[in-house]
Amino acid sequence: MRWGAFFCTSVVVVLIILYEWPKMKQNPKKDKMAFLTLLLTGLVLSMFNLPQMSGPTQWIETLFRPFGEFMEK
Amino acid sequence: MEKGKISSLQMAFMMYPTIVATAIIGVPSITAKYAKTDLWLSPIFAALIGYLTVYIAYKLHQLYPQQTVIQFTEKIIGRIPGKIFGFLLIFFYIQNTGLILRGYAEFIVGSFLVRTPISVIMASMVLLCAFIVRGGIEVLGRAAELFVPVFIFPIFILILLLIPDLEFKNIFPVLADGVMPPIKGAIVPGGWFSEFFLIIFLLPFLADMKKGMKSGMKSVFAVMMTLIVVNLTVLFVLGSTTSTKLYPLMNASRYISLADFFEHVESAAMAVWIVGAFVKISVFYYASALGTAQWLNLSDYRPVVWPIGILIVIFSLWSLPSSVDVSRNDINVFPLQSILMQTIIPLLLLLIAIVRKRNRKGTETS
Repeated sequence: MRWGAFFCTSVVVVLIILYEWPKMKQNPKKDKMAFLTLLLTGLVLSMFNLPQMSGPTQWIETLFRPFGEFMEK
Repeated sequence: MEKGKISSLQMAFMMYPTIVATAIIGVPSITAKYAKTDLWLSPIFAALIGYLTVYIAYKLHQLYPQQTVIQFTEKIIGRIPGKIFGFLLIFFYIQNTGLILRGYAEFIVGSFLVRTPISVIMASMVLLCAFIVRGGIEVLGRAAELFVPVFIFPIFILILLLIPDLEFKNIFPVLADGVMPPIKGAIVPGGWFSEFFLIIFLLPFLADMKKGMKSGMKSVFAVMMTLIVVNLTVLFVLGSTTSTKLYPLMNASRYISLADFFEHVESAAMAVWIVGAFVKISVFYYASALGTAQWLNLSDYRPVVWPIGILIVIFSLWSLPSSVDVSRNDINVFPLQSILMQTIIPLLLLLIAIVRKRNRKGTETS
C-alpha cells in the first residue's frame, strides 16, 4: 500500500471527473459507465506497490521466454 | 465517432516520429550487439517488415473502408473471436504506450533531470498528450506537421557537425560473419517497423484515401534512411564500442566540438527529441483511446481519453522495478509481441477476409 501515490491518483481522478462530467451530460449511459469504470480501475490499481507487483508485462515475458532465450544467445 | 479528416501527408508526418523517435535513441546499440559492424544493414532488412505491414494495413482498409481494425475483425472472424482479438490489440497498445512513456522518462531522468521524480515527468507528458488526443485527429495531424520538421532538422545538423569526428574505416570488415548477424540484428528494429500498423487507425480519416498506401510506403522509406544514417554515424564515431552504450546517438553527439563554440549540443538536440517522443506517445495514445471506445461501442472516444491516461501511467510502472527491466523487455519481449500483434495476425486476418469475399462472390455468380 502506498498512500502517497493513492492520494495523488485520487486527486487526479476527482479533477478529471470535475473537468469531464459537465461535457458528457448528453452522452449515453454506456459512455458514463465506461468512463467511471476505467477511472475506478486506475484508482484501485494505484493502491498497490506496482513496480514490485507481478503484472501483465511480466506474464507476457514468461509467455515469450523461448524468444527471450533466443535473443540472449 | 471521429469526424475530423487529415491529409495523407499529415499521416506520413505522424508515422515518421512514431517509429524514429525512440528507434534512434536505444536501438542502435541493441542492433550493434548482434550485428557488430554491420549494424547499418539491419534497418534495410527490418524495413521489409514495415513495407509488408503497410501493405497489409492498406489492403485490409480497402476491403473495409470507413472502419478501423477493432470494427472489421468482428466481421472477418466473427463476433466473439473478433472481440477477443480487439481486446488483445487494445491491451497491447495501452501496455506499450506505458512502456514507451517509461522509456522516455528513464532517458530524461537518466541523462538530464537527474533529481526529478520519474512520475512527475511521466504525468506531465501524459497530460500534454491527453489534451492533444482529446482535440481529435485533426489537431494531432497539424501538430505533427508543425513539429516533425523541428524534430528532423536538428538531427541533420547534429550529423553534419559530427563530420570531423567520423572514422570511416570503422565500417570494415563488412559482412565478416556472413549475412546472419545483420538479420538477427534486424529483429529488434523489425518490432519498431511493425508499429506502422497504427496507420490502420488513421486510414479511415484520410481526405485523399487513394494516396494512403503511397505515403505510408514513403514514410517507411524515410524511417529506413534515417535509421541507416544514424547507425552509420554512430558506427563511424563510436566504432566497436557502440554495443556497450545505452544511448549511442547521445554519446556520439558529445563528441561535437566546433570552433570552441558548438559544445554540449546534446542537451539542445535531446530537448528537440522530446518533440518527437511527444508525437509518438500521442499517436499510440490516440489509437488506444479510439480502439477502446470502438471496442466498447461507445458514442464518442473523448470520455475515455483521461481514464486511459491513468492506465498508461500505471502500465509504465507495473512490474518494471528499474530501467534494466525496461530495456530487457525491449529486447526479449517487445519485438516478437509487436510483430505478432501487428503483422502476423493482421496477415492472417487479410487472408481470411480475401477467402471469405471470394467465396461469397463464387456463390453469387453460381
